[in-house]
Amino acid sequence: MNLLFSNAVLWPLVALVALPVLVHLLARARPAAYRFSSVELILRILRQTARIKKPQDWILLVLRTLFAAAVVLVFLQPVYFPSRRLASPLERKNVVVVIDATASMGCLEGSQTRFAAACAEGADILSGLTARDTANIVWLKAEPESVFPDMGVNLGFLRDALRQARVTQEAGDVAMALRLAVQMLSPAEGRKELYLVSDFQKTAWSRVDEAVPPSVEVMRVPVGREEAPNGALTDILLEPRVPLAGEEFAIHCRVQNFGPQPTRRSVFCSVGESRQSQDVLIPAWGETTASFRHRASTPGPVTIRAVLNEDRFTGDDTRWAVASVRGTLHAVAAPTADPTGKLWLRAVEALGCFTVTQPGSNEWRTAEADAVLLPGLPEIPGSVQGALREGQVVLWWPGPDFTGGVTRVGGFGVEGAHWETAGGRSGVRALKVTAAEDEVFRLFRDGDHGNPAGGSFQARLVFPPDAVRGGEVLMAYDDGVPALVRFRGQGLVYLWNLPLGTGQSDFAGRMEFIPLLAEILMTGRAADSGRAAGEETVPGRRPVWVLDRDAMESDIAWHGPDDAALPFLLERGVQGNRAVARDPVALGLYQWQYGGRTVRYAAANFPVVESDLRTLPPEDVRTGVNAVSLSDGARVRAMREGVPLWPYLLMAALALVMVEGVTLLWVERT
Amino acid sequence: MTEPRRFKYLRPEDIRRLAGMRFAPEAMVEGLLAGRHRSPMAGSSIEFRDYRQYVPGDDRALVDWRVYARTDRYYLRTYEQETNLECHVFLDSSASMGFGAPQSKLEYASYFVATLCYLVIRNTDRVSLVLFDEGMRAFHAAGSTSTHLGNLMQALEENRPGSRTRLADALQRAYPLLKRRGSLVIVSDFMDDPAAIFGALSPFLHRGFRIHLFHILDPLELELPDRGLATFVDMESGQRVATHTDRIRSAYRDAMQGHVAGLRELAARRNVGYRLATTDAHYFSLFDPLVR
Repeated sequence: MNLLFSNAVLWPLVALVALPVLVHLLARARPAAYRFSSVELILRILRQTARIKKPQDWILLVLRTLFAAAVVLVFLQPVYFPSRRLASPLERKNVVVVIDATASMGCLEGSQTRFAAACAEGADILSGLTARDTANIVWLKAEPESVFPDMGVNLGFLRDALRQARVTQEAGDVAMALRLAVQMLSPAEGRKELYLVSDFQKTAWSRVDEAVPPSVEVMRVPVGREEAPNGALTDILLEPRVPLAGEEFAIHCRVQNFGPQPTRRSVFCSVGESRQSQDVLIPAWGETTASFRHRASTPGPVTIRAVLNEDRFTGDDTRWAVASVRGTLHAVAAPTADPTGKLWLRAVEALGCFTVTQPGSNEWRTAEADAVLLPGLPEIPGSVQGALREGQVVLWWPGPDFTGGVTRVGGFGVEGAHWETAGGRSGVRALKVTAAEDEVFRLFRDGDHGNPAGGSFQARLVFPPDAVRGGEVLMAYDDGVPALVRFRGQGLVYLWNLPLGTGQSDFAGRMEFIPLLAEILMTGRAADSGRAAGEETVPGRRPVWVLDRDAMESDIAWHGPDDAALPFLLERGVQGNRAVARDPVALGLYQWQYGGRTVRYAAANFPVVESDLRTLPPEDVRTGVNAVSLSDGARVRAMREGVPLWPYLLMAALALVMVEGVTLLWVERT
Repeated sequence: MTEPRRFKYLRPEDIRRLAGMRFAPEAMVEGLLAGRHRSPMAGSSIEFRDYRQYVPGDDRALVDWRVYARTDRYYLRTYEQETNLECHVFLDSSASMGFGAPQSKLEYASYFVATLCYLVIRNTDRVSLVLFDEGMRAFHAAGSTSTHLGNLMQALEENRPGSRTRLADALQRAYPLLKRRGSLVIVSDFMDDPAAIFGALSPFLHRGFRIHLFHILDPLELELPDRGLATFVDMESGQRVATHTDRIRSAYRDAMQGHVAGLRELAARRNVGYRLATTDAHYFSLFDPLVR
């Protein structure tokens, strides 16, 4: 405990505390003496009352002594310093206040947001500084920045900055903010104090383990004491991911409940001009999905905006996405002279929903293709294996030269096979469907599209079913030799053992051939769900567009949610050109334009990590062993300037007077 | 009987007031002289007592022939024998009896005792006087002459407050000196242990003494004066005690009344006469139980 006396010169007054004791001891009057017949009765009475009288006298003596002590101390003006950790007003100090400006600080508690409370605490902390001290403020956000580039003496400017500051919608880089603060304090002379003013959100601060030098006193000032329940839109997924014009696609809006009670919310989904809504019940600390369906009639980008009905924390109640609706699907086919391959190409082109490209020998860019056709290749090229993705379909006809093989990627294939033609021991073979309930055969169940197992085959690859590695046999010949095998991994790989060439089978001429081919190629779309195309970013970042062409700056434009033009930078480098937004984005949908036409979207959505508003106890924040938690900024001032005790002593003296009066009444009564 | 000489404690006006009074305590007493008090001993006298059956050897002159005429049986008449009373007066002369102003308790008691002695002697009865404090200071054997009265008056005038009160000791020492039973009058402020007092009185009661206690107190002893913070000095022990009188007045009054009530109750149980008097009332009121 640290105590200073502002009026120490009045210490001699302490002698007055002994006054009640002296009066008690010395002011025993010498009363007049009277001769009396017998004092026996008087003595008896006094003995009986002494048991009560003596404690009463002692109580009064104590009360009066305490009163004298309180009065004397009032004049001495004691000041109590709760802790010696902070520099006194006389010492030079260097203070950095890190104020959390991340999205969670926008949570409303009572009549003000956490951020407003944090700025008030910061102002309190700065108010205890003098002209000889230096200070700075570091805003904790996605890219932490300080008000001054270095420690400054203009405290007024810092206070103005606090008054004008606004909370962001960004997640924060705590480690960077701490490093920035420590970096500024390192060269400073005098005491170094670092204040962390934050809600210490659990999702952000539980990962922090930043060591602060022991020479820096760290004070944690928590704001935000409520475990505020919150609901948030956390994702928008499309199924299929890239819809076709005229094709109905699903929009899945994921809603999460960051609260201890189940909650019912309304989700509104706006797609283009249409608007739908759905009520969902979200379990405590759980999530659910609100699904909507939409059909885009024309190809092109379709903006999607999902909104949750408002709660007390609104930043995460809106989310954007852009669906790239295409006119056709894209298929990449290996160049081939194989008759089966040629018939595939003609069939795919006849479907009308595919655009087929045939790359050069080394240009296997299949990552964006919906289907990859590999006719007559004894093995799947490595580049194709490595580029396989969810929702992609590879149709592989190994060809007559196939003797078996297992892929490097995925480890699937056939161990051992040989080519056989009719006239040989097998003869003409018929097909049978071995997985009638599979989605591939869904179209044929009603019988309107024929029998996919129709046709006769005079040539085929022969391998036993147990030679198949990692796949499922969908169709087989009547002797059990697999005819159509599917391998599931990243994407779908179909091994096609249904030769179509002349003399090999009559399958290509059957009505079931094209529908079966189409169903195989389209099965991938069912699993192709995911985030929409285009860039998804968070507030505080600066979106980048990597240009695939050499462009003039005048050809490029960067537009914000309100369609206003925003500044950007065009960077030219050895590895290519890129356009970078100059300023960090806020929430909303942004677009890159080339030649006046939107070519790319960037959806800046609320960082999900900021939606969980639970806070961490400041003691659990690992910022070095030298840290202490304070209740608020006023306590900082109390620690620095001390707490004047004279008002409390004055109240105590008054209370003692009242208690003495009550005690005297009690003495009178007894 | 001739008028006594003029004494301090025997004023002529008091003597005149006594003219119509006769000392007549209620108890039966033993007496040698033919006084006016009944004696438990049967003898020839003018006052009939009772009948008893004739036995051979009785004086035939005492036979009541009217009874014989009615009953054909011989009965004798018996008569009361009148004796003279002895009154033994114990006067407390301890230091505490010196309390009181303008008249101390001792002076007040002395007036009463002097008048009582005169009354007894005028009644041709005998009176003795014991002056005591912590022991027996003076003993004047019973007498009934005017000379004896004069000696008692002189003793009273020369009496001064002494030391502590020990009534029980005085009674024990006086017991063998009192040959004949009679009235025992104790005049004191009874600043002593009541149990010890009544313990010392037991032999007297057993012998048939008729005992009267006269409790003399100053009004300031019943109700403490309001003197604020005062030091009280015990007149007998010299002990000093300082206190606020206003804080203990109520308790003191209750305690003193309790002491008086205790004495009264003990006296009533033992068939002992008790009377309380304060020095602000005339001592003549003390004679009520003693005279006719």
